[in-house]
Amino acid sequence: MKKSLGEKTFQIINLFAMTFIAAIILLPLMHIFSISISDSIAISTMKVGIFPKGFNTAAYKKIIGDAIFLRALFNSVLVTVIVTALSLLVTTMISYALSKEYFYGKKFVTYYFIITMYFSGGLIPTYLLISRYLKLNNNYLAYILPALVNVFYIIVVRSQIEAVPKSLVEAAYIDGAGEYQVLFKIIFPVILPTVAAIGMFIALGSWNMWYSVLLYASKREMWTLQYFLRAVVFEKFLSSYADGVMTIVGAENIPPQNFQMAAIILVALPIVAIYPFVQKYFVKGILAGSVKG
Amino acid sequence: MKRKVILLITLMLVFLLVLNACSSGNTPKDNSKDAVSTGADADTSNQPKDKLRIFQITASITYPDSFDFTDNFIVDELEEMANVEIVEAIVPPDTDVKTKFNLMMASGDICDVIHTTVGPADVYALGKTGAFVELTDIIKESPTLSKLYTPAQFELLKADDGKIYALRAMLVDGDASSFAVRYDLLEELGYTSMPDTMEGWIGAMRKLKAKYPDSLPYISREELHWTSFVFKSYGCEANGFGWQYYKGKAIHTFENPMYKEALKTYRMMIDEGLMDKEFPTDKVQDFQDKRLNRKVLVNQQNIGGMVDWIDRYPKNNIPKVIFIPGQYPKINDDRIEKISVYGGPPTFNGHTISISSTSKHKEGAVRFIEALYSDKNKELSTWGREGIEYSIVNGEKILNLDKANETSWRMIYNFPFGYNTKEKLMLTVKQFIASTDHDEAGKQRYEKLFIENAEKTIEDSFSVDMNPFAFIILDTDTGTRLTEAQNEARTIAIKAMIGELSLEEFDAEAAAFTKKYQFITDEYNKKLPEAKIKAGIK
Amino acid sequence: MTLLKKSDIQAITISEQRGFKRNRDLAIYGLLLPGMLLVFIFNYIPLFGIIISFKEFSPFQGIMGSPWVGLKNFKFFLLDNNFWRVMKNTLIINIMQIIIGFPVPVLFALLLNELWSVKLKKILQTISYLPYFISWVVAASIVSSILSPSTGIINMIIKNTFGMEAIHFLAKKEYFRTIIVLSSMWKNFGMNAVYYIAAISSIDNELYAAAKIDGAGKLRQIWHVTLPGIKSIAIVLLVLQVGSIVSIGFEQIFLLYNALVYEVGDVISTYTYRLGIEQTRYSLTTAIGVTQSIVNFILVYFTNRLSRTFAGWSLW
Repeated sequence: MKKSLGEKTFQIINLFAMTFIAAIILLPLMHIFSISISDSIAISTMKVGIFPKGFNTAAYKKIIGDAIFLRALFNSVLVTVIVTALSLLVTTMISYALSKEYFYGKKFVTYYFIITMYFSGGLIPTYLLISRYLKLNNNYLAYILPALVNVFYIIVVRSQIEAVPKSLVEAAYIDGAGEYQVLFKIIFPVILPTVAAIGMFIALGSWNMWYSVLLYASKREMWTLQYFLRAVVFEKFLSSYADGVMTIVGAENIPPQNFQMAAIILVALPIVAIYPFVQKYFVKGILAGSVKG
Repeated sequence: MKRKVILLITLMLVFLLVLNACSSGNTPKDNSKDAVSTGADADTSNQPKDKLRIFQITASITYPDSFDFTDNFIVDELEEMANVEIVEAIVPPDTDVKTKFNLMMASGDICDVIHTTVGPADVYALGKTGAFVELTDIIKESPTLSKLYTPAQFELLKADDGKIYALRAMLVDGDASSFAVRYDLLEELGYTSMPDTMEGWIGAMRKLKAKYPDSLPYISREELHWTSFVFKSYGCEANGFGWQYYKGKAIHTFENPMYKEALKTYRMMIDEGLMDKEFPTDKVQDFQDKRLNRKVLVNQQNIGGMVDWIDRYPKNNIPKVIFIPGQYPKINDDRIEKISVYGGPPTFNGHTISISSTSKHKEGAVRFIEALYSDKNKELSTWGREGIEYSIVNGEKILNLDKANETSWRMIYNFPFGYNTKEKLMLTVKQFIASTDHDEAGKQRYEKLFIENAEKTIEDSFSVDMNPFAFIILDTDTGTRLTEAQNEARTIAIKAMIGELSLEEFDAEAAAFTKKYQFITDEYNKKLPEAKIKAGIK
Repeated sequence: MTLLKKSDIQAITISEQRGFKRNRDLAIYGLLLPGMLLVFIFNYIPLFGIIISFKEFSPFQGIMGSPWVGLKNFKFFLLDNNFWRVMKNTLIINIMQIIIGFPVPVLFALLLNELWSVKLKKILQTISYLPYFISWVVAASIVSSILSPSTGIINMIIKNTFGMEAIHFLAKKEYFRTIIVLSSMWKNFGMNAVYYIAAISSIDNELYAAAKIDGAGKLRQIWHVTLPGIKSIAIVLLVLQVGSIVSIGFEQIFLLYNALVYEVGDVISTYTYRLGIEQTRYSLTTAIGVTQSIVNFILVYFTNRLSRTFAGWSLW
């Protein structure tokens, strides 16, 4: 492919810019990772730079070896998968409906959803509803149901559906397709990149959920991974530096920074591992040609 | 196509239903309700045990992950003593105590026994709305509980409507506000005893800085709680930004005549590099890192907290450290009132124990609380079990350190006794010093220095009247404004300390501040006479 | 949104007719029903709880049992000088975030797209969103250690290369807001770029081919093909962001602010935290939340109108 001089210069500048961006991100991250596996003494005397000093995986071992860890991991995976699948389904359905030019009651329904983005009752009423009236304490549904509808994503998906060429949809109608078929067979494949992106955000949100656990779970079996990290790791090893009350930290010799960093890494790892699969959908041109009627 | 969609949706619904069933189920309260109603028909010859649920705080004391609050040797002992069964224990993580507590109260699904640290103000307010059982008669009629408090302390338990809604932990007699000294550094500089005047301390700091230019003789932190070394010595307590009791009245500390002297001292310390000038942005981690690594001679800590730090130095390879409490330097000036320098006699800490008014087992709850306050619990939580965590050698109790460390969670149950009792202090000091890197003689000397100085500090602290401010509870709205006022004051104080405000500018800002928040000063003064009576001041 | 020609309207079989059309609308409501039900249960029923802001809520007495206090809670903070300062800071920081933080993900997505190697694209994209996963607890400590006057790398450069005195950045009012905005951008731009990357990948390759044939160079192609392709999603995100302008993340500021920068750094979320959560005043917190919602709604309403006029797109 012949490139003009202008194009070549552009590519080089681009490369520099990208390298710079990569550097300002990677350097601090390497610092974090190094701390998480460094020797405890090196950490507290602040000798750890970008590369680890000493080698100490005690924090990781401690976290992973914990009995609750596996159960929390299972819970997180279960909830994340279900929420992502169901939420994408519901979101796409609503977005498609709202993207229609007209249907009876469209304005009302649009306001119905959008108002909830701006007004909410707050913590106490929601808590009372879910905990007291629906009796969903210690129930997976308390984690799943409230998370299914997110109007922000509905708006985003809707805007992408609106951008689909009308000709495509008309062709389907002419062929005798009903609404459901149009949605799933025509629209869905075209907006797949956006759906993949939204799906990833939803999965992330669900994976990071801990507040619902604080509110609605009183049994350890219902903990999610994030809550486990927060309740066990952070509380145990960070707040033991509380002043005032004598604390006996026992035989733990692992400095809090090890845990903090290890916790971050363990949280991010699954999503970072899965993202390459999601990126498949982002490669330009994968759907080129399918749009032509 | 439609059929496929319907199939898909049906599958999802079925899956959700299955999930619902798979969840951990309802709260045990439902189970216990059924059990209790058949209690009378129980076939055992014993009385049916009351099933209790408790809400409990761990106050940052760590416990193993497999730990069960309804089933361990201490709670088993308590259950036996009270003839109850703890069926559920809600133990929120420390960071979320307030949230969990409030949610529990709002949900109506309240535990029988509630131990919390949200503070007496909140607890009494809830009590007044009927949330908790009124305890006056219960305390009077209970053999264990009636012995806990002197008549004066009994009065202290009362809310402003005269009723008692919560028990407090025993008075804390083994702890006091203090500051920590690296005695080993002093000895290195040639000192054989601690300085006792402000000039003396400054001189020591200067010597340290001269010898180690990289050191930070005095450090602090953004919240300013850690600057008491100077502020308190000048009689400006309230950490330099709050309201204080002075010459019989309530004032804001800016109005204290010694305040500017304190500011001048800080300025000088910062200019000479004796005090770390980065302190306004230092957070916990920075503060602790500096304490460890930068040869800090003096920094703030209460004695109880200091003990925990004893073994941190050897663990982080900082050798031969002697970390002991110091006494506030004496400054000769009539304008300084001792009551503002020292903390005063033992007080209650923030822990409260209440019984829910919706409890179906109130008598059982009372018995359980009595068990919590019993000597047996004190022994188990402080020392452990005889022959296991401690042994009796020559009539004296000696800890078996390894075993005692294994069950260090026992301290959690020490909450009725206020944790930081003198007895506990002696014990843990020994424990921690034992794990330092000094030789045997060094360890003994260290222990002696620590205990001596701790006792002196405690003695000084208890030598003044009780501070009446401890008995003033502000109106809710004023209390909320107080936080904001303190933030503003803190900004002004810090700016003056680092030199961003000249002393004249400080005067102007302080005057404007005092005027703006005069209503808080007024409210304090309004409530002061009654507080003085409660504090026993004439 | 494309404007339809008269001939198109005739060609369309079902849509454009007003009134309830059984065939069309039944299917549509079938799609909407699950979502509407969920929203009713989990959003509208709790909405009733807004009355807490007109009461002095006590957890034990519950919502119905707590006493009415009318506008007392609203008066409490609306008459507080600090509240207006806090509101001003929130708005300023948010506007800065929109001006600085909004274009960056777009630019990044555009530049990323122009890389010649797909592998490189994937790698860089993955790197770019990693900071998103770092909790603010960690990110804030990175920020403060970089900016530390004694040991921070920035001040090292200032002292050694430029020979100037170290600057205590986090303690200075002039720098604080910029620090917040830049660090927030560092953390989020990669994630935010995902929307644009997704949108770019939906653009039909044919359009680029056509532009090339017409003699368009790289920049021209970006201007005429790529930008219009992401225009719709960019407007959506912009309008939505303006609509949440009166809410800034609590954690970031809470971890980085200190007494010396309250005047410029204190925002509504930290203010509410001190007032409502540390002292558990639910009524007050709810009242502040209601006010925030109203302001957000007004902002989004006007932004929406502007968007409809100038960009041909609106939220409702």
